[in-house]
Amino acid sequence: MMRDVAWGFFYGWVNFDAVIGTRNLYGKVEMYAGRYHPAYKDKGLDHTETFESPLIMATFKAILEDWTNEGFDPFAAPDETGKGWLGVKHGSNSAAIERERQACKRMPGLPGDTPLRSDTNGYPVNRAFADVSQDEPEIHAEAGFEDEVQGFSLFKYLSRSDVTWNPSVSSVCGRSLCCPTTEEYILPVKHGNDRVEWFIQLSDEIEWEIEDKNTGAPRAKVRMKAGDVAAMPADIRHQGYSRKRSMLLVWENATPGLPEMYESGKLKPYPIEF
Amino acid sequence: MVVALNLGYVLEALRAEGRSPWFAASHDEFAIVLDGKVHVDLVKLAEPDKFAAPDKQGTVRIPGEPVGKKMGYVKASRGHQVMLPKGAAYRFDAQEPGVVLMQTILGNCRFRNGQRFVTSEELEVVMNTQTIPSPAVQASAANNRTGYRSFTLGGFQFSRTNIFVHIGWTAKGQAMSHTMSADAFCAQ
Repeated sequence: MMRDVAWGFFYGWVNFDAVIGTRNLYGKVEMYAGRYHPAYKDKGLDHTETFESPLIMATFKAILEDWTNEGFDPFAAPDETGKGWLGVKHGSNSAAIERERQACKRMPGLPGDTPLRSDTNGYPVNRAFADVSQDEPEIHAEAGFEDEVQGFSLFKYLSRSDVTWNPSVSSVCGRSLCCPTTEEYILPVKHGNDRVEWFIQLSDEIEWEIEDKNTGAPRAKVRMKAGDVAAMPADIRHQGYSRKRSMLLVWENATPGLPEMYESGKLKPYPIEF
Repeated sequence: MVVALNLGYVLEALRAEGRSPWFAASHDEFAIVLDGKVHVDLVKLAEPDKFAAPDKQGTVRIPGEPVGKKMGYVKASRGHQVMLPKGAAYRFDAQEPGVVLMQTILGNCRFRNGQRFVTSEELEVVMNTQTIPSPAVQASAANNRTGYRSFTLGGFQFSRTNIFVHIGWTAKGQAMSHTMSADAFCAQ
C-alpha cells in the first residue's frame, strides 16, 4: 500500500499478492480481489471495483496513517526497520509514509530541480554502500553557463537512498525517464506492466520471477548481475529478490496513451523483434 | 550501440576511447560513465537549428569544429552522470578505454531492420484527469483492543489486528476474506 500511494498507483498493476491488487486507469483505479487468481475467478468469487483516484488514494493514505506504528518504515529494508509494525497500535510514523517520490524535472542538482542527497539534508550513505566513491565530477563552467554545464555522481546519489524498491527519476529525455533505485530483500509487490520497461543492473545482483500478467503462470526467471540489461514486456508481472542491497536502473517510457495501445494490440508487448 | 529501445527512445552504450567527433541534439541527452574517465567538452552552438532543428530528434554529428561559445567542460569518472543540454555541441575524450551509457532518442532513423518505430508524437494522449472534490474516507472508531481503525472502500472492507490485515468483499452472496501480514500489506 505504501508503494501504491507513493507511486500514485504506478504504471499498470500493483499486485499486493496473488489475490489483492490495484490497476491504474490514470484518473481512476481498479481494485480487485481474486480477479487474477484462477481459484477465485473460475468460481465467480472474485470482486473488482473502480474508484476515482482521489477517493482510493485518500482511503489508502488514511489506512497507512492509522496502521503504521512508530518506528516502522514501510519503505525500508526489514533489517533497518525492525518489528515496529507488530502489536497493538503504538504511535505513528507520518514522516516515513508521506515521503514523496523524488522525480526531477530534468536532472537532480540543477537550479530549481530536485536536490542532490547529502549528510546535511538527511541522506547518509547506506550501510551497504560504504565502499561507493563519494567523489563528484569536476565541473568547469564558463561564466554564464553555470546552469547548463552540470553533472553529478549518480552512484553517490544512489548510495544515499533511504528507501528500497522505490524508483526516483534521475534524468528526463522527452518522455523517457531514467528511474534508478536501490533494492534489498524482496520487492513487496508483483508489478504488472502496462507498458514495456527496461532494467539495467548497476551493481550486485537481483533475481526476477516473471509471470503471465493475467494468470500468474510462471514465464521466466532472470538473474541479473552488474552490467546486465533486460526488457520487461507489457504483458508480464514481476517480483525481484536482492540478497544484498543493489543498484538498479529502471528505464520507463511515460508517453501518455501507452496502456491503451498495448491493451488494444496496436503495440506488441515486447520492444523489438529480431 | 543501442542496448535498450522503447518506442524510439534508446539507451546506447559507447566505448569511450580517444577523442570523439562533436555531436548535438535538439533535446537534452544524458551520459553516465560506467567505467573509465571521460572528459566532456561543451560548446553553445551559435546556430543550433542548423544541425539539430527542433523537429529533429536524436543525436546528430557536427562536421568539423562547432561554431559557438565555449560553455566549459566536465571531468567525469565511474558512476558520474553528465547532462548534454539541448542546443549544445559536445564531444568525449578518454585517455583509456571506458564505457558510457547514453540516454537519447533514435535520431532520424525511423526504420531499422525494416521495422518502423512509433514515435512519441504519434501516440494519442488519453490521460483521464477527472477528479472529485474532498473524497470522504469511511473509517470506524479505533478498536478498543487493538487501537486500529477499520476502513470501507466501496464493497471492500479493511481491518487489522496485531499481526494480520483482513480484506473482505462479497461475491455470489458469500462473504469472502483474504488475510495478509500487516508489514507486507503496508509495504506493498
